[in-house]
Parts: sequence; C-alpha cells; structure tokens
Amino acid sequence: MTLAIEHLEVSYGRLAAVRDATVTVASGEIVALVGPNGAGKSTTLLAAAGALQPRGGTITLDGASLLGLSPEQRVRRDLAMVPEGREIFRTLTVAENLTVAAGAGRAKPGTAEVMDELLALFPILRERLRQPAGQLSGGEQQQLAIARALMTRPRYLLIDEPSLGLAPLVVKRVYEMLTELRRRQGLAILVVEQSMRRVLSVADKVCVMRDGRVVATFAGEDLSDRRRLEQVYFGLAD
Amino acid sequence: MVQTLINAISLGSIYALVALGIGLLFGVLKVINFAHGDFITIGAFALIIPSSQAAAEMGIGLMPWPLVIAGVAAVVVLTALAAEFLVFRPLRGADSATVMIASFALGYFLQSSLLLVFGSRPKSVNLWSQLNVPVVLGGAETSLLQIIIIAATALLIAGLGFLMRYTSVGLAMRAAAENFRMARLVGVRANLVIGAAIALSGILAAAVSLLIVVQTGVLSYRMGVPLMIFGFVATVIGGMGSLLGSAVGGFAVGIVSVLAQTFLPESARPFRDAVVFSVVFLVLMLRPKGLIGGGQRGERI
Repeated sequence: MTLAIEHLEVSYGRLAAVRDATVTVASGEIVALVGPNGAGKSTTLLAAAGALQPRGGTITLDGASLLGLSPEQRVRRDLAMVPEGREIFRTLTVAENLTVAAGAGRAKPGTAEVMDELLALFPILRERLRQPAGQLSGGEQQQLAIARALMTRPRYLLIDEPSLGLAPLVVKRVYEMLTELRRRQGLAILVVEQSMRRVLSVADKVCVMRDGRVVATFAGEDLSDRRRLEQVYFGLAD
Repeated sequence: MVQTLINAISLGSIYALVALGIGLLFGVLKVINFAHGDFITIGAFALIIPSSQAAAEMGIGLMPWPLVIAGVAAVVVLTALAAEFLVFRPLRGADSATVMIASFALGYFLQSSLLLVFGSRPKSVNLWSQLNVPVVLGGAETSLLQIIIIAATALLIAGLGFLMRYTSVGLAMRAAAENFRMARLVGVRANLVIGAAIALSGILAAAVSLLIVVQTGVLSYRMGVPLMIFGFVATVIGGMGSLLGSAVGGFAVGIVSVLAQTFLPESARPFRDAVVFSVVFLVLMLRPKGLIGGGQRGERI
C-alpha cells in the first residue's frame, strides 16, 4: 500500500521545474517534502494529483500506474489534494464545498456520516455551514480545504503548505489534526512545507528537495540529526 | 406605454435566453461559443423536412406541441453534444483563442451544411400561428405570443436556477465555473460538467428557435447570427461568468433596443442598433466587468 513517485520530471514549457524526484509514502505514514522556494515541491504534488503531466518518471499507487489518469480519476483511486492557497470555492457555501467533493467521490453511500465525522473534527465548520466559504478566515479556510479533500474518503492525502499565511497557533492545530487523521484512519499524508521545523515533529520521513531534485531522504534516527538536515536543506552537504 | 414595456421585456427575454446559453458554456469552458446562434438555426430548421424546395414542408412541426418542443430540443441538444465530442473535447487544454476560432469554424460548418441541404432562400413556415392573436392587458394591446415568450423565459430561468442551486450537477457546474482545476481535484468529472453545460445551452437554444419561428414565421440559414451577436453583447455587459449577469444583460439589451425603436425620431430609427451598441460601449466604460460584476476568473482547462 504505497504511493510511489519515482524519478519524476516535470517541465513548464522549456523550464524544467522537477528534474528527478523520488518520494514514496506508505499507508499510515506522514512524509514531508521540504525545500526552499522554487525547489519543485508543489509541482511534484500537482503532478501526483494529475493536474500536471510529467515528462518523465513514474507515479504508482499500490503498484498501478497513475500516469494518463485525469485528476478526477485519481480521486476515485483514493488520492486527494489540498493545494497551496487552499483554493476553496469562495462563492459556494461551506456545506456546498463539502458536498461537491462528496458527490464526486467514489463512495456516495455514507456521505452524511463522513460529513458528520469531519464536522466533529472541524467544529468551526459546523457553525459556518450556510456561509459562503469566501467569508471564512484563513485558518477556517484551511480547515475547509482539508475537510473538503477528506470528503472524498482518500487513503492518500497530498497537502501543500498547510501553514502558509496562518497564525502559529492555527498551524499547530492543523498539524494536530493531520496527526489525528493518520492515527484514526491510517491516512497516508504527503505534506509540502518550506519550513523544516514545522514538520519534524510529525513526519516519519523527510525528503529534501532542491533545484528540482530530491537530494536526500531522512527517516528514523537520521531525523534527529538536525544539523545534518539543515546542511542538506541549505545545500551545504549532500 | 404598457405595450412598449411588454415589447421590451419580450425582446429582452429572447436575448436573455441566448445570453444564458452562451454564459452557461462560458462558465465552465471560459470560451465564447460563437456557434451558439447556429444551434438556434438548427433548431428552427429541425421543424421542416430537409429539402432545397422553396416551399417548406413541415416535419416535426406537424406533431402535437409537446412533441414539437421535445423533437426540436432533441435535435439541438444532439448537435451541441456532437460539437462537444468532435470539436471542443479534442481541444481541451488548447488556449482560449484556439477554441474560440474553432467555435467560429463550427458555426460556418453548420451554416454551410444548412445551405447545402435547404438552399439559401428564406422559407416561410407556419407554426402555432394562433398564438399571434391580440390580447388586451392593462389597457394595452399586445399578442398572446409575447406573453408566452415572457412566461416561457421566466419558466426556463427558474428551472435553470433550480438546477444550478439544488442538484448535484448544478453544484458541480458552479464549482467548475469558479475553479475548474480545483473542481477536478475534488473529483468533479470535467466531461460530465462540460457535457451538461453544452446540453443545457442546447435546450435554451431550442427554446429560442421555437419562439423566433413562431414570431417571424421565416427560416433562413443565417437567422441565428444576429441573435448570437446580441446575446454575446448581453453576456458581456451583464458580466462574463455570471449567469445572473447574462440574464440581466439580455433584458437590458432588449429593453434599450425597444426604447430606441419607440422613442427615436423616425429618421433615426434605422440607426437603432447603433444606439444600442453605444449604450453597451458606455456601460463597459463605466463598469468594465459588466452590470453584475462577477467576472470570475478561473483556470482554463
């Protein structure tokens, strides 16, 4: 049960954004993809979700290739994405944002239960159900974006910079929720962050990306070697 | 005065239906379908038996009215879906200009096909002429047809509003209109949403076909072109990307047109359309995003 991105290459026209990225996420694992701005992290996530077509490499889910599948087909394979900037549907109400994802997901029966469960996890959303999503605060929008992705009942969640633009306390809450989701549902999470500090406490594995390449992967005891992690992050060591 | 008002609303209704048809597809594809007027023409010609004879012989048009409506709607919706499969779908991912030019090409293709099958001479047809009887309303004389045009438009707009608001396909279309890429990332099927939008725009085009044929009694292979131009203008001044805007724009263009026709001095009446377009120009100068300035920007797909 693994999402495997191997030797991924993605270009925007002539510009190569991702040159060689290999990241694997096993069921129930939280993997962080970190790196400086422009390293190709978001592009890697978008390619995995099917929003960008890679030029090379493979993306497989439980051994089956995802290449050539549309984003909506990948959702039906239990892959969901929370993009950078949240991209909630601002003119739709909170309830509609959740329903549109439920209606589109593979498992229609039990939608009400899933929604109830998520609203218990994100109680603020229950209070705002009838409000246009555009009126929510940044933190609430981030929760809505995560809840919306979870409405599709994914086994794998791709989440891009969940802390962007949020107050530290809210960021803490978001990460607590992600850990809680992993614990409760065995959700596998691939999270992109610029800041390494934020993810170190939750991640089972950290992949460092620089100039379109995953240059190092840290897991287990290696994760406690902060000094080395920082050196790799800043390009001072390989 | 009441009569002028009814005329204005009735013409505005036709333009609103055209504008909504264009606006629906623009919402999800972010492209103006310039063949929309030709969908209307196809609907009108669907009434008669294909022949290049000068005299038109009714085909579908002879059936009882519910079947006429269903038949014309079926022909236009099938044409629209075929256009989606053969023209728009292969161009997914192409830029807007390419898709727009393709829609022009589709329009010319449809016109040329009609020309080939039906000939270039306008044909007169007699559909539901009993609706052209005068009725007195609020002291003013109008025709039953105008009342029907207004009522049918109200019904179609209400139906469309219901569908967009309360059905899952309507919800998916609203999400896709706001952010197509994100809609796909939460599992909304692109082909389903675009197919639904083009089928609905086909139904609206079919309604216009019928209303126009009853009103004018004439078929011509380019009859949809002026409607398309006014509908397009209505979509623009209403606010691209807003369905409410399309409807409001349609009524606005119709009302200005009838007012110009009524109140311009006789010698200036041939320039009625110039007045209408001047008003459009003025509106766009004052409100570049249109009357209902939704103007959502979304990802092209």
